Amino acid sequence: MRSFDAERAATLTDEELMVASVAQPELFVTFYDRHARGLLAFFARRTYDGQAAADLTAETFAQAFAGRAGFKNPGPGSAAGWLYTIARRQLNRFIKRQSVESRWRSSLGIALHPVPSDAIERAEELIDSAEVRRQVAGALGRLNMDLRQAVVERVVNGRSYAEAARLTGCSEQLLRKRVSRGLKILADDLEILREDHDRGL
Amino acid sequence: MTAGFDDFLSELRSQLAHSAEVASRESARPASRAAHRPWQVRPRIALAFAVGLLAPAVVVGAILISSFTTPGLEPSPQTNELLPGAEAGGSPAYVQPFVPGVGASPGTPTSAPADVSYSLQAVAARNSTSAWAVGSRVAADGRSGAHTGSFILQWNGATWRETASPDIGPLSAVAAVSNGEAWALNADAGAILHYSGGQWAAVTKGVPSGCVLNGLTVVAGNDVWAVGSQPGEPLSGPLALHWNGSSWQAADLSALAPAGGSLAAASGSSATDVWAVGADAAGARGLVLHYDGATWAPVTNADAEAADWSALHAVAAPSPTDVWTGGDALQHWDGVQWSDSPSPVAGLSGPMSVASPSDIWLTSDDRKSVVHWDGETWRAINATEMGLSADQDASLQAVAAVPGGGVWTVGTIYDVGGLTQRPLIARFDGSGWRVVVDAAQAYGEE
Repeated sequence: MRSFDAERAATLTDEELMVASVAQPELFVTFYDRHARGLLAFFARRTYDGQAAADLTAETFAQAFAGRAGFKNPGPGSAAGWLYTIARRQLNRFIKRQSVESRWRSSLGIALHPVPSDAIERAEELIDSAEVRRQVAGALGRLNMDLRQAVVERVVNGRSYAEAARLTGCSEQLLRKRVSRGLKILADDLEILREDHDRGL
Repeated sequence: MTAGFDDFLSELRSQLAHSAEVASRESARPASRAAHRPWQVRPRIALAFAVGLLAPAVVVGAILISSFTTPGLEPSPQTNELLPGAEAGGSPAYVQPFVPGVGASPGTPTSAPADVSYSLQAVAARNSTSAWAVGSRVAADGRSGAHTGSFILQWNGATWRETASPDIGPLSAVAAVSNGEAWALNADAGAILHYSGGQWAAVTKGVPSGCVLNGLTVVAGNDVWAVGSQPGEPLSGPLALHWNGSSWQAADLSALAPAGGSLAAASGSSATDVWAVGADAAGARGLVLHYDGATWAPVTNADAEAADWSALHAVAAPSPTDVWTGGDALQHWDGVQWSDSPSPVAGLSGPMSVASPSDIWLTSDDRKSVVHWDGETWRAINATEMGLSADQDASLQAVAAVPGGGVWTVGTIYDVGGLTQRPLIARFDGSGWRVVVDAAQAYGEE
């Protein structure tokens, strides 16, 4: 049987690890070590629910492990991108169904692991509200005036679409599109919501 | 730094390392089938795990169900389900579905225990005396990953009671054909249940293994569509399965271009007018398909596409010249052209439930409201308007119009701080909303 060579594993890129882990499954653990904290932070920031974040992290890695033979290597960064694609799907599913899938963990026999109810409060680095405020202000400032006005009236000032449309002098339909587009741009622009490949906790 | 998470991360690491070790051992044996399927090497452990979760739910569930069931009603059919391949101990493992009243011996308090429950994800109604609500059993500690078995409630005109069914995992959609016939789905497992002759049974024939099934629509008893995506990666291609009264068969969608995408919902007014909506291969733009009785063809909407038409989640087709789609916004097809319709909420989620062309319901994407079309305008109704107090945070998962009048909605109530949650069923009887089931038991962290 092949022996697991931790030193060699450390020299491999993420993509090399994933490809080699098909024949040498132990190499997946090194990939886990590199991304576990970042992925947990990714989920914690988006759910603010410690148990859900832990369950989503476990399910995502279980799915990645089970499906590692399906990873194609188009180049640097693709393994992390692949992992976060699985993660985003798990997150979308969680938001829609309010439950974390467990079939990948079950298929590997991985048990549910309870985390303390205050784990997320203790992980202060996960949610830095001052930093979030700074980033939101910056991102708002980078929107063009029409979009910024639409987002501020509807989301910040909490006006109805009809009222916000009247105030900004456009049709309600156009205002809805501006708010929707503005929020999409904001979400893309917020560093705190970017994929946290290397951030860790 | 993060003591709670550190323990979790290190425990998960050991479990993954163990899985890797097992996979490695298996792959060292070239004759083993498992060498090519490392994720399937521990089915017995997984099965034992699943049985371990179900067993307490079966026992305690029998007790809890009596808390909202009228005594004296006939119990639902009692069946023993054989779990496929469940032979870990050398003998078959039977899971007995829990049945109203069973398990609560005389003198047993009927108040429900706090550590077991269920959640509801979908609802369908045929008339005032027949409706179904489906979801999942929530195992012992109610943690988010512990939604395990199938769970089905039936409304008989007077009360909701649990109905025994084979366990195909969490149920996410349900559709009623008649008082005596219905369908339910587990989307992720691509698994289907059929209610007929007084009992639920799993139907697998003609259903592609590994597919995802998101939406159901009933045109007639022998004309039912289930839509989703092809086996493989999500968005690997739309899938439409048709039930002809005796078996499921996949429609040929191979001519659709470009390839890829997924269907979220379907609705049909007749055998020659069925609509399905979803997302394209990138998951970003809407996909609308129409079936004319012979072939499925894409429907284009140049205006909407120019305006960054987002993925669609819901569709209602009361007639060929009256079709609604819901995604980021609501759009209407009048037989000639599409038009945007003002939506009272920022995003919409399916399925849409149609009682008549002027009585259509769906939920908001954030699950905070149900949204109603009265023939003139779309209006949102939130949980407070249904009679819940302001400190109860409700998530309204699905809504069903009752042909002939009335509406059901099902979901979850989160108490202050979101620390406990419990199932909710509310009903609109034509004049006002009333919470019908706000089950006494709570699950989640106390």
